[in-house]
Amino acid sequence: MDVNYIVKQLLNGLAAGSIYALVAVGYNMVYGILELINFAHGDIYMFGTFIALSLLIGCIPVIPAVLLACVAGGLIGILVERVAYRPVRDAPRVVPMISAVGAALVLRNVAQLIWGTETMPFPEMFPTRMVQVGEIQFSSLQVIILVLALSLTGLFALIVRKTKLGKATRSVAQDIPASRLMGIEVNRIIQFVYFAGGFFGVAGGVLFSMYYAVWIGMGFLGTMKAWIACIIGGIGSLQGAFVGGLLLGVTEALISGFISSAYRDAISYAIVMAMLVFRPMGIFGRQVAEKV
Amino acid sequence: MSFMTARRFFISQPKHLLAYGLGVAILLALPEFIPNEYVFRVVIAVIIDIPLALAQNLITGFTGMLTLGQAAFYGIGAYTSALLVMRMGAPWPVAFLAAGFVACVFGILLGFPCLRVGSDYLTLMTIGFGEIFHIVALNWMDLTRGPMGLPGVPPPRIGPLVFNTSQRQYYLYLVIAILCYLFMHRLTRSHVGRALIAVREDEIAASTMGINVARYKLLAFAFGTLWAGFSGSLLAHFLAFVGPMTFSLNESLFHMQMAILGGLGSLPGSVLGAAILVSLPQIFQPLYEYRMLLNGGLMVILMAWRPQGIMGTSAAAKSAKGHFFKQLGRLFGREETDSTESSGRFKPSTRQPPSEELSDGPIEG
Repeated sequence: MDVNYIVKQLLNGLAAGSIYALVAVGYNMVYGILELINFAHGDIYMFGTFIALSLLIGCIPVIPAVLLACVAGGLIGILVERVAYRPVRDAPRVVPMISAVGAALVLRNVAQLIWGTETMPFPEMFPTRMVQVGEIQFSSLQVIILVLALSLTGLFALIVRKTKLGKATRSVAQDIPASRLMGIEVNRIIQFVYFAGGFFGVAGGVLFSMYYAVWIGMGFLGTMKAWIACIIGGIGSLQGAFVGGLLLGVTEALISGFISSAYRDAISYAIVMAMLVFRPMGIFGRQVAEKV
Repeated sequence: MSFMTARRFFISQPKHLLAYGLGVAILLALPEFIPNEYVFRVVIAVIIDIPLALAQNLITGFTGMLTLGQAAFYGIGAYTSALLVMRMGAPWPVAFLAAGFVACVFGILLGFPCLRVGSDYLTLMTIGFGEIFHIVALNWMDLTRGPMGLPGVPPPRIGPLVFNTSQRQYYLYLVIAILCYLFMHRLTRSHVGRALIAVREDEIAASTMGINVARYKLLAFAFGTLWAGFSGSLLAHFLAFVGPMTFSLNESLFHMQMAILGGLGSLPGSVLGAAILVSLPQIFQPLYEYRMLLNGGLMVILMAWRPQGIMGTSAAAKSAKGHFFKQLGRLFGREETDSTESSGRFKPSTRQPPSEELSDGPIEG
C-alpha cells in the first residue's frame, strides 16, 4: 500500500474531522446542559450556512458575512430553545425529543422554501492552491480549515473553562436547582449555551461547505456526525467531543479510502453502535453510577 | 364472576356489539361510496399505515422507547415479501408471513444491544440501524437492484384468489389491519400491556415489582417490528414496486408523527393519526411544499400543549404530562451526585426535573 495515499487520506480525514470537532463541541455543550438530544442542531447550522451563502452572494465582505451568519445561527438556536424546548423542559424525555425533531423539520422546510433543494457550491473565500511537500500533495484549503477549526474550538474551550459565564454554564450542566440557589440565572445560561452552540455550529457549517458544498441535507448529516463524535469522545467532555470529531473524520476517510465509500456511513454507524454497547461512556468519559 | 366483571359483561356488551356492528357495516360498505380510483388508493394507503402507527405506538407510546428506525423494518418486510414472490416464486401468504418474521428477527437482533443503552442512545441506535438499512438497500445491487428498486411486484394472491383490484385489496388489507388492531388491543389490555406501561413509567420501580424489564422491552420491539414487516409486505404488493427511497429516516419520522398525533398510548388514536396524516396531504395538495413545516410545527405545538395527542387520555396522558415523574422525583429526590469538573464527565441517563418548589419562580430575580 502506498504511504502517500495513506497520508493523503489521513489529511482528508483530519480536515473533515476538525470540522466535525468544531460542530461537536458546541453540540456537546448543548447536550450536556439539558441532556436533550438537540435534533435541530444540524439544521441550525445548515440554516446559518445558507445565510452566509446569501450574504456572500450579496457581495458582503467575507468576515462580516460569516460573523453575521454565525450570530444569526446563535439567535436561531435561542429561538428554537425558547419555542420548542423550554415549554417541555420538565416533561418526560420522549416529549422534548419529539419537539426537537419537530423544530428540525420546520427549520429544514423553511430553508427548503427559501433556498431550494439543490446542492450549491460555496463561494471561495480564500485563494486555494495545491501545496507540495515532498511527494505529498494537499490543498491549502485543508490546512486553512484545520487551523481555523482548531483555533475556534480552542476559543470555545477557553470561554467554557476560563470565563465566569463558562463557570456558570458548567454549574448549570451539573445541577440546575443548586445553580439557581447560587444565584445563577439558569434560563439566561441555557440561552447562552444555545447561542454558542448555534454560533460555533454555523462556523463549522461554513467550513464544511467550503470543503464540500451546501445543501439542505447537510443539517441532518451534521446532527448525526456531531452526535456520533460526542459518543466516541464521551458525552459532556469537551476534549472528548474534540478528539471524537477528529477520530470520526479520520476513520471515515480511511474507510472510504480502503474499504468502500458507498458503505462509509453504514460502517461508521455500525462502529458507533458497537461502541455504545461496549463503551457507552466514550473514550474520555467516566462511568458514573446512577443513584436512584 | 365478580360484580364488576358481570357489570361490564352484561351492561356494556350490547352497546359495544352495536358499535362494532355499525363500524364493520360502514367499513364493508365503504367501497360503494368511494368516487374514484384515486381516493380508493388513498384509503388503502391509510389502511397500510395503520399497523405502522400501532407498532410505533406499542414501542414508543406503551413502552416508552423512542425508536426512529421503524422504516427499516417496514423496508425489510417489503423487500423480503417482494423478493420471495418474484425470485423464489413463493405464494403470497408465505411471503407475507416471512416478511413479518424476518423483520421481527432483525428487530430482536437490534433490541438486544438497545437493552444495554439508555433512552437517548436507543434512539441513536435505531436511527443508525435505519441508516445502515437504507445504505445497504441502496448499494446491494445483486439483491435489491439499488436505487432502481424492484418494479413489477405482483398483487397479493391467496390460492386462486388474486387481489388485483383496489376493491379486493381494500378488503384483504382491511382484514389484516383489523387483525393488527385486535392483536394490539388484546396485547395492551393484558398483563403484558400493563407490564409494558410499568416499564415506561419507571424501569426501576417495575423491576422491583418483579417485571423483567429487558424481556418486556424486547417483546415490544419484537411485536412492533413484526407488524412493521407485515405492513411492508402490504405496501410492496400494493405499489407493485419496492425502492430504497421509501424507507428513509423521514418515513420513520412519519410513523412517529402518526403515533403522537393520535396520542401515545391510545390505539384508536393511532388509527386516527394514520387517517389524518396520510389523507390530509392528499386533500391539501397545494400545500405539499409546506408538508414538513406543518408536520414539524404540529409536533412542537402538540408536545407543548397536548403531549398526549388527540385521543390520549388517562394513564398515558398522566405520564406524558410529567406528573408521575415529578412525584417520583419528590419521593426519591434523585439528584446528580457527580461533583467532578464538567470535562471528563459522563452522565449515563436521565436527570429528574427539578422539583416544583424550585422550578416555580426565579430565585435569582
